[in-house]
Amino acid sequence: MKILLKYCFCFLSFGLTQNIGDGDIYDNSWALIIGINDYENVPDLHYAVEDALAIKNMLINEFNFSRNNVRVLIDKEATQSNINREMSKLLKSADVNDRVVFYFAGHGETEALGLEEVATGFLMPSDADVENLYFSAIPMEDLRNISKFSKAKHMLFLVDACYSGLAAVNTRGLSTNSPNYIDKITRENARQIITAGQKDEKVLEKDEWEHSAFTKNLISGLKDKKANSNGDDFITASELGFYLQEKVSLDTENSQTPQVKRLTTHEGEMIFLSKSEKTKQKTDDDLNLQELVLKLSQQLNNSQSQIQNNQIVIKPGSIGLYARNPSKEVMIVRVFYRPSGLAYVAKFKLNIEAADELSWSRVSVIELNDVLEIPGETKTGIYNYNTGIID
Amino acid sequence: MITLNKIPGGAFFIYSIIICYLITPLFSENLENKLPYIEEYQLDNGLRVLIAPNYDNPVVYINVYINASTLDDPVNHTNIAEDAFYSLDLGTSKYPSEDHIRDKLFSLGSDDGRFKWFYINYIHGTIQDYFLKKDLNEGLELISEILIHPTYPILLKKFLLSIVFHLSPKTSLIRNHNLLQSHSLHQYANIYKDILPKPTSGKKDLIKWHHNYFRPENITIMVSGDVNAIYVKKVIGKYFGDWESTEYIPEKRNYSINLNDNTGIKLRFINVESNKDALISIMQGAPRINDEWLYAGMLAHSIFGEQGFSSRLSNIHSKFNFYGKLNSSLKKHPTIPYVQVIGEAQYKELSHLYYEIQQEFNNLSNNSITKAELDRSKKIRLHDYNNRLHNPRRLSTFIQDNYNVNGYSLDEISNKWKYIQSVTLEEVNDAASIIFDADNLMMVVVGNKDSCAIFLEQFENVEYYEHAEELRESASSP
Amino acid sequence: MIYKNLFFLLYSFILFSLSFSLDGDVHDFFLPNGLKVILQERHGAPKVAVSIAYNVGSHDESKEKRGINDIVTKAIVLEGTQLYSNKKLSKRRDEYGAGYGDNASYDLSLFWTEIHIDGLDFILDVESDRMTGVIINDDVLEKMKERYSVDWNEWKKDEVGFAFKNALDEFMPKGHPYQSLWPDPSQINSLTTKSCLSWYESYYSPNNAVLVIVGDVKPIETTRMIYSYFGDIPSSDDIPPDPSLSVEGIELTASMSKHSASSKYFTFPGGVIGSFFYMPSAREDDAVILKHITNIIELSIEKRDNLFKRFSKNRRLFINAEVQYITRLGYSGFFLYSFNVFKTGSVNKINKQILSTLKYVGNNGIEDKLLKQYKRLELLGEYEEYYAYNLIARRLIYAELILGDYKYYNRELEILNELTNDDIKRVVKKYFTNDNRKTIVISMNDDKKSWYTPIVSFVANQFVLRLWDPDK
Repeated sequence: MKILLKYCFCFLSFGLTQNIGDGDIYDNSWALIIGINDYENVPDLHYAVEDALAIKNMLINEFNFSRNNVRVLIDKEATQSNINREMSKLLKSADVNDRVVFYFAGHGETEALGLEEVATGFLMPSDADVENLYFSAIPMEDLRNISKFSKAKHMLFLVDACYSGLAAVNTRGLSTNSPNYIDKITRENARQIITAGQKDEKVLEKDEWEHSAFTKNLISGLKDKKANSNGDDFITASELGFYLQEKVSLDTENSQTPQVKRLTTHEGEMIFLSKSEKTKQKTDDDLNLQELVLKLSQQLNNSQSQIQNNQIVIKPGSIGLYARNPSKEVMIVRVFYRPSGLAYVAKFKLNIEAADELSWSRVSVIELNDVLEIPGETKTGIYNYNTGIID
Repeated sequence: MITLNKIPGGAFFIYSIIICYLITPLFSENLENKLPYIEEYQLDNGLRVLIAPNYDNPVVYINVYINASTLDDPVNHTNIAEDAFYSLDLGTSKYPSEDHIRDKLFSLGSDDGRFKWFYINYIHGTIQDYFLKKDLNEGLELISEILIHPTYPILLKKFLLSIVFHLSPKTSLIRNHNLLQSHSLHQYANIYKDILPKPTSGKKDLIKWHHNYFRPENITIMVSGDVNAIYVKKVIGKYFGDWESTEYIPEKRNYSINLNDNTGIKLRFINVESNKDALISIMQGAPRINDEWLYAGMLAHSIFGEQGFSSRLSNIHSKFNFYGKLNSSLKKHPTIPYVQVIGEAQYKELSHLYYEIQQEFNNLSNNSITKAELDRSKKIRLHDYNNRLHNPRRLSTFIQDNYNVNGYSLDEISNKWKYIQSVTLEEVNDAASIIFDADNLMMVVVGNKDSCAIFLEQFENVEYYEHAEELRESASSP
Repeated sequence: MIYKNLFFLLYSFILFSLSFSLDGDVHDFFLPNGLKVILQERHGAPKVAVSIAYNVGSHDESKEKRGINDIVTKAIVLEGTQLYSNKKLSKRRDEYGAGYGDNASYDLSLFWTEIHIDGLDFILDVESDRMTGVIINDDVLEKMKERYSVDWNEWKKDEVGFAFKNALDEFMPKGHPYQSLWPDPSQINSLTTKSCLSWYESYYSPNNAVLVIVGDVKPIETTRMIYSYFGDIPSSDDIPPDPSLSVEGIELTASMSKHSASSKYFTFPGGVIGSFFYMPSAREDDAVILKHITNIIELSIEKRDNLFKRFSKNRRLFINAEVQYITRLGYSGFFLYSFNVFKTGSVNKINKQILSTLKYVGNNGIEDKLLKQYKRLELLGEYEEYYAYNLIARRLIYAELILGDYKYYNRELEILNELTNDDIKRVVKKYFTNDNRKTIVISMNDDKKSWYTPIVSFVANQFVLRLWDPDK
C-alpha cells in the first residue's frame, strides 16, 4: 500500500509536468528577436523587419511568451553593441528551467580567415562594416559561446541570414521511440540551431510571401502546427527543422536548404505547445503596470468602481482658467479616473522666455473644481464611466 | 533510523515537504556576487593581458598596471621613478612632443589632453583611460608608444623649473602633508625617501631606468567594455608583441618594518613655526597579503575607521567641535602594509584627541567588536564588491589591484567575497587586538613646538626635526 | 531505500524559478493623490537611484520670504524626520554604502539617494516620511538660522568668491523672481516657524512632486511598494502655480558692475573681467545649442587652440578664461570670465575682442576638428553616466520639471547629434549681441599694488607669460 502510495504520488507529480501548457515545462520563456532591413554599409533588405515582428507576435500570442520577456531590436536599434548587450542580458536572465529563443533576420557574411583560410560566418548588425567583419559583426561562433554560458534548459537559434551555416555538432537527438521520450527531451538540456541555408547559400524573400521563405514557413510550421509530424500535442525544434528543410527547399526550388543542428551534445528538445484556451484569472504578475495601478488605486480608496452618474468635464486639448488664480490658463491633457472621483491631468501656462507652444508646465493632477470654463472657448463633454470616453 | 515502513502516509508528505524546503536554498545561489567573464593570457615577452567584455555601452576601458614604483628608486637617486614615469608623455618616436600627445588625446575624446589616470606611487604605476569602442586601436597604439618608445626630451620648461627650485627657499617647497607622510613612512619602514623634490634626472639615467623597470614582464593590460576578444588580441599583438625586454632584471629592494613587539610608542615631532593647527599620523602594522588573518584584519579596520557614521572613529570625531579631518586607511602592500590614522586638530585639543584614540585602541584590543558591527561591515563590503563588478572601469581597477598587488588568480578574486563573509567574530576580535595595540605604535606630529609643548611632555625620547631638515638614516633603524 | 524515495520527492517538487525583468523600459503613472511616478529599468548593476523633486524653488519666494525654501530643505536634510533622526538615517545609509545628496535651486528642490537594491524599501520609507514627518519647530528654526549665519560669515571671508556672488546678484533684474540664492542673514532671521511650516505643507506634498526610480527594479513589485508608502499621503490643496518668469517689462540692470576684493591665496594683484549674456529659457532648443557652444569654448580654452587665441588675442588680453552656462526655466545666462595677473586688464579692449570673436563665430562657425572632438567628448561623457543611476534620475527629473516632460531627458544628446555649424552660426548671431551683454569687473588685491607693479605687469604679461603657460 505504501509503495503504491509512493509511486502514485510520483506519477502524479510527474504527470503534472506533462499536461496543460508550456508553463509546466518552462518557468519562463525568453526571446531576443532581431530584424534589420536598413543597413548603413550594405544593401537593404525588404522583409526582415516584418519577419521579426511576425515572430514576436507569434511567440507572445501563441506560445505564452510574456511580453516583458521578449526583446525586439529593429533596424538602427540592432547595432553590434545593442545586440551584444541584449544577448548578455539574456544570459543573466534565463534560469535553469527556462527556454530562450534567438531569432535573427538580416544579412550574413563569411570571410576566410587565418593561415588555413577557414570560412567564418558572421551575422551583420545594422552598423556592420563588410571590410572589417572582425571588428563590426557578430561571429556565428558567438552563438555557440552564448549557448555554453547560459543556464537555460533549452535554447533555439533561428537564423534567417545568408551564408548562415556554421560548424555545429551533428549529433542526433533522441528517437521518438525511446522510452520516456517526452520526459527525457523536456528534462535534458538542448542547444539547437536552425539556419535558413547552408554556408554558401543566399536567402530568398518575395513580395508575394511578404516574408522570407524561411520565416514564412517557420510561421506556418509553428502557428498553423504544420510542423507537427506525429500528431502529438507539441512541436519539437527537430520537427520544426525537418519541416523547414522540406518546405523551404521546395519554395526556393532547391536553392536554399535550411540546416538543423545542435551546438552541443545535449539531447533535449525545445518544445512548442499552444497556449491553453482555458481562461484563467489573472494574477498580479499577469497584469500589466497600468492595470495594476488601477487595481491598487481601487484598493487604496477601499472601493470598487461603482456605477456613477456621467459627469460634465472639459475635453482634452481645451483650455480653462485656474479657479484659485483666474489669470492662469490651464490646458487639459486628459481626464484622470480615480475611484475617489475624477480629476484632470493638466498643464499651466507659464510666462517664460520661450515660444508660446513651449510655455506650458509639466503635467500635474488638478481637481475638477479647480478649473473654470472660458465661456465660448472651453469645450466640454460628458465623461462616460462605463467606456471612459468623453462624449 | 526512520524508514518508510514506520511512517504513516500523512507524515510522509509532511516529511518530504520539509526536506524540499531545506534543499531549496542550495539552488538559490546569489547570482549577483559572480565575477563577470574575464579572459587572461600572456604574450611571449611576458606581458599579461586580461579581457573583460561588457556590452552595456560602446566604450572600452584600458587599464595598464606597471609593477614598478617609487620603492624601486635607488638609494642615491630617490625620485627617478617619478621622473621616469611622468616624463613618459613628454614625447615619443611617433609623437615627438607633449603637444602632439595632448592633441592625440583630445582627438580621442579627452577634455584636458591628459590620460584620465596617470600616476606612480609606492605601490605601482598606472595609465588608465576610456575611449569610444571605435577608438580602441588608436588608444592602444598611443599607450604602446608612450610605454615602449618615450624619447625623454630635454625641455626648456623643466630646465627653468630646476633653476627656480635651486633659487627658492626650501621651506616654501614643502607642504605639511608631504612632511607628515614622508616622515610617517620613513619611521615605519626603512624607506629612505627625500622630503624635498629633487631636480630632474638626466636623460641617460631615465632611459636606463625605463629599460629596467618599464618592461613587458612588469606590465598587465586590462581591456574591458565593448570588446571582441579576438580583435583585442590582434591589436595587442600588433603593438606590444615585438616589445623586447632586456636580460637584466633588477632585484626588488628589501624594506623591513620597524614596528615590532618592543617598539613601544615612538614619536617624531616636526617643528613648523607657522602652522595654525597640528597634524598627527599614527602608524600600525597590518596583515600581509598572504597572512591567514588578512580578511579578519580588513574587517576589523573597517569597523574602526571606514564605516562612515557607524565607525568607531566617527564616534571619536563627533566628540570634538573642530572641522578638521580625521580618517583612517589600511594600505595593502606586498612588503610594507600598514594602518594609518591621520588627523588635523587644534592645538588645545591634540592631547584629548590622542587620548580618545588610545582609549578606542584599548577597547578594540579587548573583544569589543559586536556581531552587529561585523555583520554591518560584511554587508558594506559586499555591496561595494558588487558595485565594482558591474562597472567596467571600477572592475578593471579592482581586478588589477587584486591580480597584481595581491597576486591573486582570477578564481581567487571571484571567491574573495566568500572569504570575507566567512570571517567569524572571534577572528575579527583577534585581528583587532593585533592591529590596534595602544602600546606599540609609531606617531608623527607636525606643528608649532611651543603650541604642542603640553602634548609632547607626556612622551619620553621624542625624535625632533626642524622643517625642511633632511631625514636622518640612522634615526629610522630600530 | 530512503534515498531512492528522496530522489523521487526531489524530482517531484523541484519546480521553482527566479524571474527577472528585461532592461530599458520606462513606466510612468500618477497616484490618486497626484504624485507622478517615473520608473526606468536598468539592470546593469544591483542598485537603484531614488530621486524625489518638488516643483518649488527660490523663484516661488516672495520678497518677505527670501531664503525660506533653503531653510526648509536644510531642515529636511539635517534634522531628520519623525521616523528617521539624522543619526539613524546616516547609519542605515552606511550599511548599504548609499550615496545621497540634495539640491535646492531656483526652479526645483531635489533629494536623491543611490543605494543597493535591497535598500529600496528603506529609502521609500524615508522619502515618504519626509512628505509628512519633517520636524519644523522653534528650536529647529533657530538652529537653521544660526547655521546659515555661520556659513555666511565663513563665506564672506573669501572676498573674491563673495565679490563674484555680489556681481552675479546684480544681474538679476529687480522685481524678477530670480534673486540671490543666498540672501542676507537679516532676511533669513525674519522668517517664522509658522511661515516655514506653511511653506512645507503647501509645497512638499505629493501633488507637487515627481518620484523617479532608476535601476534594477521589478516594476510590479516597486509599484506596490510605492503605493504602500505614498498612497495614503494627502495632497495639498494650496499650491500656487509658478510665477511669471519672463523679463519682459522689467527694467534690466546696469551695464557694468565693478567690485574689488582681497585674496589670501594670491600674493599679487590680478583681475577678472566677465561678460554676461541673457539667454532664453531652458525650454528652447537654442538654449541647448548655446550650452553646447559654451562647452565647445571651454574645450577650446583647455586646448589653447585657435578660438581661444582669437578671444584672448594670443593671450595678450588675458592669460586664461572660464565659461559657464546657467540653465533655468525662466531665462538662462552665459558667462565668460577672463583672468589676468599683475593687472585687471582693459575692459573696453576685452569686451570688444570677445564680441568680435563671437561675431566671427557667427559668420564662420567653429572649426570642424573642434566640433568633432567635442561631439566625441560628450558622447564619452554620456556613456560614462550610464552607471550613475542618480545622474540619469536627475536628468529625468530635470526634463519633467523644467522641460515639461520626462521624455525629453535625452534632448541634449539628440540635439548634439544633429548639431551643425549652421545651427551654431545662427544661434550665436541671434543671442550674442551688445544689447544683450553686461560686464563684471573684479579687481583683486589692489592693496598689494606698489610702485613697481606696472613694470612687473608689463614684463610678466609681455614676455614671461607669453612664453610660459602655467595652466598647460
